[in-house]
Amino acid sequence: MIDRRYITNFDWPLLGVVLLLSMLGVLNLYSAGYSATGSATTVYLRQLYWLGLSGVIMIVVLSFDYRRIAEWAPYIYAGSIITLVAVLFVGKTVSGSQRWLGFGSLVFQPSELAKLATVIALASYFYHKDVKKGYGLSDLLAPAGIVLLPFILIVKEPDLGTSLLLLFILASMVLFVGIKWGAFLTLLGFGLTSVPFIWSLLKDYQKKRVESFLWPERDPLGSGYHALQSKIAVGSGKILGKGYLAGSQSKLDFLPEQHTDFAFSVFAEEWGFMGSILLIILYFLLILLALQVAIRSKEKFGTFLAFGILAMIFWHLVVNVGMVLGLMPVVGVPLPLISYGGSSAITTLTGIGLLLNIRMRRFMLQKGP
Amino acid sequence: MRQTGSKRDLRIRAFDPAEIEEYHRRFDRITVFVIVVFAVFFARLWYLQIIKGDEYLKRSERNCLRIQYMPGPRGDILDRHGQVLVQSRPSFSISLVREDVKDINKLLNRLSSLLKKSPASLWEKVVAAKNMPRYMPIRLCEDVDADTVALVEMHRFEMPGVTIEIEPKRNYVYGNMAAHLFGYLGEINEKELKGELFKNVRLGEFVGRCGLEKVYQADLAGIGGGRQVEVDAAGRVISVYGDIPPVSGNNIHLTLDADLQRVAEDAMAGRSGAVVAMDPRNGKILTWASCPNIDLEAFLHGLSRKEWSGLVNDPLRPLPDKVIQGQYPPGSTYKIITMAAALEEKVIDPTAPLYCSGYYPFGNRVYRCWEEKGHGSVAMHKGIVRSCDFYFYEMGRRLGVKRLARYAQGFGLGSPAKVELEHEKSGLVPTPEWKLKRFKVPWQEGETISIAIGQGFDLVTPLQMLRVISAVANGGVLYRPQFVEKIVSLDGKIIKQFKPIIDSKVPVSQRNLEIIRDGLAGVVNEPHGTGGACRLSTVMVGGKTGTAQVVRLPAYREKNVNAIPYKYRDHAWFVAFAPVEDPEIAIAVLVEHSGHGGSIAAPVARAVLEEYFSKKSSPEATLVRTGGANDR
Repeated sequence: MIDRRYITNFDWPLLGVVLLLSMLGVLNLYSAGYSATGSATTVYLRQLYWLGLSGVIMIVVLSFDYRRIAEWAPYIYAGSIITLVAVLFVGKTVSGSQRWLGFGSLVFQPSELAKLATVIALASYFYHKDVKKGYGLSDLLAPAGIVLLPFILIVKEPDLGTSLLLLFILASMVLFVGIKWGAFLTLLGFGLTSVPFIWSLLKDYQKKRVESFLWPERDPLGSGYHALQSKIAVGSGKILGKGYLAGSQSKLDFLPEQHTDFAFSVFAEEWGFMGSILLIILYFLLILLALQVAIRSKEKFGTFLAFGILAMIFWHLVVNVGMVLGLMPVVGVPLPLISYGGSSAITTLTGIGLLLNIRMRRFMLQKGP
Repeated sequence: MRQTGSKRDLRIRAFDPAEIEEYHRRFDRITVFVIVVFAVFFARLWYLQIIKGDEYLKRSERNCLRIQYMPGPRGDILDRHGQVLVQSRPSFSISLVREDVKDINKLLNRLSSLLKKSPASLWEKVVAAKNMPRYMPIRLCEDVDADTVALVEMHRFEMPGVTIEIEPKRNYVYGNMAAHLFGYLGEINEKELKGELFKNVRLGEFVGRCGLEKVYQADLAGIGGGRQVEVDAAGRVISVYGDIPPVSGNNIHLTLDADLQRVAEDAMAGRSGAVVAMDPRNGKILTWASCPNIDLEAFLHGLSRKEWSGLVNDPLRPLPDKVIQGQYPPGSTYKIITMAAALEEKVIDPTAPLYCSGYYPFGNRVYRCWEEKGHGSVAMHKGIVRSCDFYFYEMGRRLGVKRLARYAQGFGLGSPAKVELEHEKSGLVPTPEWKLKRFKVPWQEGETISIAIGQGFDLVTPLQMLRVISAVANGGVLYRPQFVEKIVSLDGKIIKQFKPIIDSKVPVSQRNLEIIRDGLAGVVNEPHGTGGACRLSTVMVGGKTGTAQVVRLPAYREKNVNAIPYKYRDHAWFVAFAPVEDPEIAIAVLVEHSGHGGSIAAPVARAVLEEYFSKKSSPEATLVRTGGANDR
């Protein structure tokens, strides 16, 4: 028998927002593939399959007490590291990056799931390592290591966007759980001085993207062109948009990667300011609801885990929308639920499943031990 | 949903009240941060879609931003004296941007009259590109001449959508000279686009398909540039937003001598075979000719199916590089190896004579010497000078097949010389083990007799024989053949300098090599030597002739060469070096299906050697252009 309290405590608004966003995503992918010739037209169908699979996984995630995850964290983390290593050896290479593992006709991107595994590992660490007055430098060595390992493996693929997100997630979580001022300033100083070093590790095309963001005239053929075309697509949508299936910028193949990284440009062109704002508001609601899950959890692991998942979704959003609107360099990061991508859908919906799990088991913890 | 039992196992750590306060403050700050970020998105959308919306809409309606790619010119290929042999020249093509075309039927009709091409052929190109974005130019007509360009330019205002593009094209300054060494180019295909080697190459560009063009693709390839331009309704450029000039590839300086190459190819005119020469002191290649040549220019235009099958089915086999892919019995040139083995293994005193009667009986067979009357009393020197088969049959019998094979391998036969070019053949050094495996029958001793004079199962490439004669000339060193002297960037910086590589040494003493060289000098310079056709008045040449039987049919034995069907005629060999006292050039010549080495192949080698030494005494370049692409 299902405890009725699960139902009454279930976060229906959060689920509603997620479903709405997923539907808009499929609708938008249909349009993005609409006039393009050949295989591209089935992208929305494939996205539907992935969403269905993700839904099943989400239900599985709801079926156990999320606190078990704190115990499973080391295994989940180790498993994701193994798949990342596997990708470097037997991964499929697509346009120069080795990011995918193939199982028959299924293709999966382990770096997507690694983000979730890292969040779980970090939440578990902070949960087990209780510090009263902020974490010091020595307390942060382990979390730094937890992030560094997948970070290096993902940089090698190379996938700059995903590895950057890992750093953002780590920084958000550390700031959230509390850090000593001394440690904060030391890390800040260390971070700033390591910028030139990290810069030297970047591949030429990655440097070019950053340069072309700062000085768009330097790369008129590559990402500078993409950024400009994206701005034209978004801007030309004006208030009401050009109408569904009627976006000319994207239909004429001016926009690259319109199914994935630039899916939002397609949406903004066809639905205009009103549509874009609606989408942005939906994401805003999603973030606020996720924050509520974190705030209202009655125990620390739930709070930490919820916050980590929230940070993961939030930074995806910021980097992708920032790129599409020309506020950030062109970095290949998907927009959760709107961009095409099986691994991204599974990761996002598994994360949402954990949020729902934390939220609906809140009542059990109302009296602490 | 299981609860019982597991509930107790799970730790619950709640917040203490003081912490809750602190965490709530943090949540408040986070909420503010999130609101600020979303406010920025809101403001940015407002700015792009409402304030700048009209402007962006106009830009999107005109679709006025274009990318014009400009491929980087390939680097030049030069000879050892800095003569440019292969270069890049600008070529014009007429293209069409469908986005700007109002009435495509009318336009193609108009264009077809200007370009003197049928409207149907132009339509074909447009249809073939139907999956490309509409703003991308479709190439209608390639490599058009200056007059046509001017004509189209004049009428461009009435044909919106028509563009003229400049691209670099390969120009073969000396026609098809050294075509196999250079290799041809081909338009890059989907598979190559994904490879590491071609990472800077765009669709539609030409890349090296074989030869040095392929081996040095990464060095030769330029880096494409381009610009982002705004065009008007007629496709004319109004403004340029960014411009990246294309960069030329690096120049490759070869060890090849273009004058020698030309003389070698001229001497082979109308024949099929290979001429390859190198400096025996370091392995630097001086000539590399595989005849007949292929037409490199034709590959740039794309071969038709018919042209391709014509090349494949040509009895003279123009496609393979015969220097490394042609495998032939070495004939009497192999006697150099038999001689070296006999000397080293001391199976005979070189001064001890044998009596050649013209017939060598062995088992229940009789092996003939090429001189039916017999050479009479023959010691080693006379044996090599007159190429007496009888003498070397006996040497082969005394040595046995295993020892012969060991020396052949020691001279580099039976394995590739590991040149940088692809598809090098390894030839064949037969052994009893090989025969048992290949034919499932044991070795016959009579076969050793044939092997000793380079017939039977023996197979060599012309390059392998060049290495043999070079090693004899230079005191026994097998050098790795070297084509490239250095790679130089456009601004003259040396990017890579190549050094000679020693592969191994032949298992022959200096004293015995001296005896061999003395014999080979006799082949060319003594009254009854078989290589007299290669004699030079100024320099002492040493060499060895060879005639490789293709079939052993008595019916074709006594006939005039021209009376025998082409494919049954013998191959003619000649290997040589000069000057004998201090060798600086070694050469191997193979003429397919032409008759005797002494009469056919030796004069080819002579022409090259003569050019080499006359040029040395008067060093001005004598090269005359035989016609480049522009003159055709």
